[in-house]
Amino acid sequence: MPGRSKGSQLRIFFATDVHGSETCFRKFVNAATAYSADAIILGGDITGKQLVLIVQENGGWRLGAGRTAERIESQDALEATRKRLSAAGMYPILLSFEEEQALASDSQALDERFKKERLGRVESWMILADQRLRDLGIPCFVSPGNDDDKDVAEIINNAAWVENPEGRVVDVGGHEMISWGWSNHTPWDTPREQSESDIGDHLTAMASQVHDHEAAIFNLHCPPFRSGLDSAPELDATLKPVVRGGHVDMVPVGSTAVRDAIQKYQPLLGLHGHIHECRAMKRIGRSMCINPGSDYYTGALRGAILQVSRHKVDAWTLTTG
Amino acid sequence: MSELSQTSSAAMGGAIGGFYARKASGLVRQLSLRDTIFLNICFISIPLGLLYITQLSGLFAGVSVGLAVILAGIIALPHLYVYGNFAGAMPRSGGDYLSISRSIHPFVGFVVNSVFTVWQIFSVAFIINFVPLFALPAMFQTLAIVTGDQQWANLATNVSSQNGQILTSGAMVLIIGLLMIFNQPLALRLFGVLMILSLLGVVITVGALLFVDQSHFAQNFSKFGSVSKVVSDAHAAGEGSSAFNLGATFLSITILFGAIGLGQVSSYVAGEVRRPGRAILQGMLIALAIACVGLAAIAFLADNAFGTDFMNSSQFLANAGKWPVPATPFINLFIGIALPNVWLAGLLGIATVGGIWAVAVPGYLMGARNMLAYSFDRVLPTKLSEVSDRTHTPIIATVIVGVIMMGLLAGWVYSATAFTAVISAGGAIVFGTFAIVGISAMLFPYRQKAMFNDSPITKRKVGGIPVFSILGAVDAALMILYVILLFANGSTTGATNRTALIFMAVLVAALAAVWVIAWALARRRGLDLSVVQGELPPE
Repeated sequence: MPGRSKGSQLRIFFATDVHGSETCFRKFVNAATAYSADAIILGGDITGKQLVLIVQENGGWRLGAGRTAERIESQDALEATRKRLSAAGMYPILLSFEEEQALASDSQALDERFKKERLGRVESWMILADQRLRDLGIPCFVSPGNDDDKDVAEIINNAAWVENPEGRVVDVGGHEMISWGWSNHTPWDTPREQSESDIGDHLTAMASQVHDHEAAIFNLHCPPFRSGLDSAPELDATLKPVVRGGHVDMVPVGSTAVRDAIQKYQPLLGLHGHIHECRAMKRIGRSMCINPGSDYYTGALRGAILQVSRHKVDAWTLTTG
Repeated sequence: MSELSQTSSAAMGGAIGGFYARKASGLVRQLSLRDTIFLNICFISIPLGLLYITQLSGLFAGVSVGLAVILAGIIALPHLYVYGNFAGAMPRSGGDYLSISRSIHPFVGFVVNSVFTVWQIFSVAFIINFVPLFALPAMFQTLAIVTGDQQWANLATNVSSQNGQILTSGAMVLIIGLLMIFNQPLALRLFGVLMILSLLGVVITVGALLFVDQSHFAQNFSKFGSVSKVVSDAHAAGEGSSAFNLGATFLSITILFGAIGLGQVSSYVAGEVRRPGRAILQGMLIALAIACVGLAAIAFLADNAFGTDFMNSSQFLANAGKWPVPATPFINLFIGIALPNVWLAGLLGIATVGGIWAVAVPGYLMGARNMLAYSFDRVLPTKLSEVSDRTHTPIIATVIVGVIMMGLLAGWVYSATAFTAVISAGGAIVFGTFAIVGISAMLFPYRQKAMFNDSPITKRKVGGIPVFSILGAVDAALMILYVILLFANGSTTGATNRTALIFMAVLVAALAAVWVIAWALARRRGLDLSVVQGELPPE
């Protein structure tokens, strides 16, 4: 990448929805130098969705259970499997047979163990970001999303180098940025969901503290409603995609409050995520809204490089790292 | 959550038990194995294969089209293996654009992918015009025979006239284009229905051919002349021997591969396929098997039903302008003459029209989506990636694809010789670009070690070389062989037409220039396009 941005320009790298992928987070941190970014921002949903039990058995290990169980024979193969699972955003844990049985019969213990793994990975990432970015002096903003436990925010708040920008106005290279990771209601009842009016209240409260809206960055996990950044499969009452004629029907699922805020305040940038399959850019008025999408389970980091001057986006591109 | 299990199992190569998923919103991949089979069959193009069953015999004396279909299917295996495994290793939409960008360079990835995209748009314009040229005239002529009503014969003539072609094919391109803009779900459902119709047509064709009696066909054909006279006229006009010729059969694959070997389209939508590690390659192989079995069965049965001599001679006479029937030789026409039945003619006609028409849907999808991808990567202007608030579709990209298709269609109708020369020369260029895909497969295990090791691609080696690299080399060698054969037999294949080659060279150079200009402009703004598609270091 040709040198850093010049003069009053700011080059931001934005990625989102890494969902626990060890590979994606490492790539995110390394993107700072690879793309010569002045600041890097990670949108919400940083924690993963699946705990994987690897059980010691007959001198080796067993991954999974039942007919699809996979046998792991060597230590090298075990390490490779753990790396592969972690790269895809899963949390592999080693257990004895007795521990597996105990966890399988105690859903509360399973939940707690899973949560411990999720938060532990976030903590390790905060340390990694500190080690890689502090000496370079590159600011790193990580905000939680709707899928993240409420405790995630606290871990980021306590991080040595990474900043949690959520719920306030922060300075990003001279641009005021507001962030909100809560989403409108989803069919899954995820940890951080709100009504549209609650989202609207929070956005209004933050936006009213911004001095220069034309230069502002709205880092809002949920994309604006009906923006083309928010198309997701329509689900039936059992949460299965509605398929008609062999094809899944898509519907807009973004936030009307986010759309209203973008339309009202017309910030320079809208940084969004949440809907992984909607990798796109959309202008709403003068605001450039971007959802770089997510392919976290493949270990590829989807992102966006945005080079901005005071009131203008000078250059941008989506990336696949 | 079912989709979470699917996602995890895809990443895990099938394991489901022992995984504990929490409540979380997430990606739902849309395309099933069935969808990938449909998409691939559509690009394999059964209607094109049906046309080749009659046309190849007029070009390559002594060809066994049935055997050529099977050989083309076998030769397509390394090509599909490479595409399927690349998609499994990088289950993201983009196909060769992504794999070549990663293995060689984004510039090469763009040129290869954009050349194939443009050629696909060419192909859609080419194939869709088979409706007024072959499918409808065959159906109307058969109806004229069955009903004795001359109006049907007139309709057959009118629909295949230049104006008839433009009106019919243009309307089909326009209707699909409008649906893609204003009601994409309906277009996709229509595509599913048309593909089912097309497959039904193959079954009906096979069934009908089983009932054709050669002597009865000869008797019915007497309305137009005699079968024996068609054969003798063709030989008198210079047709070679109809005796089986393995060399001619192998050579015909250079053209037949355009119908059989391009079933890799599901790799371009890999990011939307459920269980991509398995489904993409499976979808390619199943589609290939269905198409090969269906077309080979039709070719062998047609030889048996109408006689090899007649099949070869009919097309030869048509090429020489001496064919006595007022409709182009086509399998449906022969069946219609042999088994004159309104319902059968109607069913076969509708099924063929459906199969041909269906090709427009993935043509639009692929063209518009690739334009969006180039636009998001800043190779093409941002305007192309704009999605309408009202329709949620990329109107500008779709309109551009439609306009290009219409322009090409006009070229096909009003300047058929030049257009088919470009299609032939373009085929040679596309095979050349496919060779680059094979080369990128050769290099992939060495240039992208981590990605290769983490991928579901087999890690087996032969003589210390990864099997994937070996099959990539085989694929590249076959594609280069095709290019050599196409040029070495230019008088038959049409690949050496000078004007067409210059046109294609200019097109490739223009597409290469697009990337270089975009790269230079982005660099001036401080962005390096060759970096943004490269893999970030994970450590």
